[in-house]
Amino acid sequence: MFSYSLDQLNEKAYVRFVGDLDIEVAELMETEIIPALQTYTNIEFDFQEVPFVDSTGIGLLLNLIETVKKNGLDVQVKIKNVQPLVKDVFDMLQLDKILGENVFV
Amino acid sequence: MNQSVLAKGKNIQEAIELGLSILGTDKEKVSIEIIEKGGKGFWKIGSKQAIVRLTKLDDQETSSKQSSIKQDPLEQIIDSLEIESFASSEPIKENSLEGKVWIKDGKLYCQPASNKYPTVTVGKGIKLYKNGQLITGTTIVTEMDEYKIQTDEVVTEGKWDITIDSDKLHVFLQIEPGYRKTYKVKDIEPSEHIVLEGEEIVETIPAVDYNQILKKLEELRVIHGFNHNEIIKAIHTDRPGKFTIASGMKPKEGENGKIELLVDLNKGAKVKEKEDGTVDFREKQEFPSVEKGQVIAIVHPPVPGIPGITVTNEPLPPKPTYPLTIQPGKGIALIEQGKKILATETGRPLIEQRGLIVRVSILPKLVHSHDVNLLSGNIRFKGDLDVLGNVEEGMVVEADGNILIQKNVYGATISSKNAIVVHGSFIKSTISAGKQNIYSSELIRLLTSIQEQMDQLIKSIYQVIKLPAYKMSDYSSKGLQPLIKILLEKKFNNLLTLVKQYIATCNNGSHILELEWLTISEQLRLCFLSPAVNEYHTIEKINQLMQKITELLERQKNEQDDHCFVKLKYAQNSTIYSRGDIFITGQGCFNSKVYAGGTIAIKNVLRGGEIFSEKEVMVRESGSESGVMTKISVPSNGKIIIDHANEGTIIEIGKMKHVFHEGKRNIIAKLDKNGNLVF
Repeated sequence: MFSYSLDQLNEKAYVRFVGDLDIEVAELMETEIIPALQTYTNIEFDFQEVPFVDSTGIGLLLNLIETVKKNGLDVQVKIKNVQPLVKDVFDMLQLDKILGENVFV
Repeated sequence: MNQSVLAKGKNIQEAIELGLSILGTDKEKVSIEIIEKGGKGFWKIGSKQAIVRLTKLDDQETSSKQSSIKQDPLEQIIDSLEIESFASSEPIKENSLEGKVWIKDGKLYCQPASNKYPTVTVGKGIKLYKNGQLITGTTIVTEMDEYKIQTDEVVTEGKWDITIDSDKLHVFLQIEPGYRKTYKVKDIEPSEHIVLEGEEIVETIPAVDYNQILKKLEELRVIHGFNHNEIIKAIHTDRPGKFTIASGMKPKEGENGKIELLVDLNKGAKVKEKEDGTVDFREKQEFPSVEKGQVIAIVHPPVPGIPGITVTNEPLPPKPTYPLTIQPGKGIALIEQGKKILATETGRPLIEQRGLIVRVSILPKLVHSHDVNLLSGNIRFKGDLDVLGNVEEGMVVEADGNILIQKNVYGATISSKNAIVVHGSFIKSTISAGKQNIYSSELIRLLTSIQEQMDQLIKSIYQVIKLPAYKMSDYSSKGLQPLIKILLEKKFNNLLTLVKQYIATCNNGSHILELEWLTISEQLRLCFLSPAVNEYHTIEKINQLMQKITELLERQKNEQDDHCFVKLKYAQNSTIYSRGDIFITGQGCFNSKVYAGGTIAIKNVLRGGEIFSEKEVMVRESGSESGVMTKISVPSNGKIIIDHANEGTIIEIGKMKHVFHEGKRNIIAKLDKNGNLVF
């Protein structure tokens, strides 16, 4: 089961995803995660605990980042600790090119 | 002077005995001086040898047979074994021969002197035996020994092999002759030292004889086509070689039935260039046509081939030949047991040959003797069409066959799967000649790129699905749609653009495009552009679509458009498309868009607009003094010829481009080896 935690440090949001980023996450994403992150200008996602992804999940992630970036040009987004096998999927789909080279750290 | 000799032996005793035998005397007649006593142990290996010097005492009894050797210690203390005496069977009396050795008639003779012994060195090809013992290197000769000269002989065996090729048409004898190398003993003049060398004589030994060959050929069952001269040559050859000693005969192939046309069907189908490279615009444009009752072709029966024969006397049949099957279509009758093809109607003969099946028909011709306007309605006809009047605004004229319009066309659309000729002006109109049209040729270009990209996309999908961290949890509800969307986002962004272009082109040309183009357009839209999940978002369907695209492109590639061309007198603000050539024979071509799969030839002026030919463009004058932009393009292997290019002319060959800012004459532009535009 997917869950997330949100910690706040000054203006920075620190979001930890736990579980598979897949179609099951859709509702949670729409109803909670996107609204919760609307006000931040600096967001960091931790993928340490994400072992699997599906294409819907990746679509949701892309949509999430696109949405928060709409709020302002200077919104900073970082994704860190992506597991190597998940990184393989991201690389194959060229996510780094879609989101910008410096998003993955 | 006293004779003396140095002798070596295992011990003193032996050395003295040896010395005595050399001098041919006995102990009482010599004085003995011991130079080296020899080693401690008599039989020990490595012990020193004993050396003695024997000097003959003055004695009147010296016999003529006595010999001596020079008192040169270095020469004599070589090896006791070398110090030998010899026996001469024939004493030579002359003094000049004294101390010399010679060879005559294969025999060794010598005449020892009282104080020296002659020596012999054994050379190539010779074996010298002294008292039955083989001598190597150099030896001294004495009269007391018996000498025998033998010559060497080296024999190399010959090799041969007979092979038959896979068709049993040739028998080869591979031969390597044998050799015998012998040596002859040469006579040698008397000398103190001679080198006994043989004279080399090489003889060829045949590797095989005639009977052996015949026997082998019999074993191989070769009974036909012997080449005796070659066999003889092979036997007597002195160098390795391959000889064809028997040959069969290849069958002579016959010819299938064929059709001989009595009508020139290619009349007027191509641009005719004169020898100087210019185009003959005055040639009258005509389409081939036959009258009722005219014989249009003769059918020739097949000509059988002549069988060949193998070297084993088996017949080699030629390929069978077959007659043509004539399928008479509309307006055709076969007469004289199918030997002649007769037209029963007037029209244009149409002959299609696929393998051995020939379909012949007469394409009917419609002559519309008035204008095409609202009164006559649009004209669509399966055969050839002649319009004797004008084609007026908004009208459509279509034919499967050739279209000939005697007067002018204004604001109309003319399309034919074959050729189109307009004798009048062509203004604000669209023309399309060939089975493809201006839209489908663009669609082919787009679809070829789409096919490449889709192939990559499908491969990427398979790759992603296989990744261990990738879940298919959404496939049952959403199919490939989310995945395709992500892939199109960046990796295959170009595919998205191509699909959009394809769909737009289909929409523009929907009125003349065949259905299959439009079907693919809709399916591409569903697969790549639709935000809603649909059946095209499954692996099976996307593969099927890919298959369909491949098939369609394959079919288009095989379409032939040999006979189509467009010939106009004058074009203005028009779109002209031809799979084949385009000629504009009158005043010129103004502000029009022109595309030709073949050559474009404009007799006079090209002013404004864009023209593209897949081969070559020939124009007398391009652009204008006022600098109207006029663009001429050909692919990188194409050529552009302009007699007079005015300002505003742009030429483009492949990706190279040149803009003329001032007038220039006699331009022949193409790309050189390095891809630079030269003219």
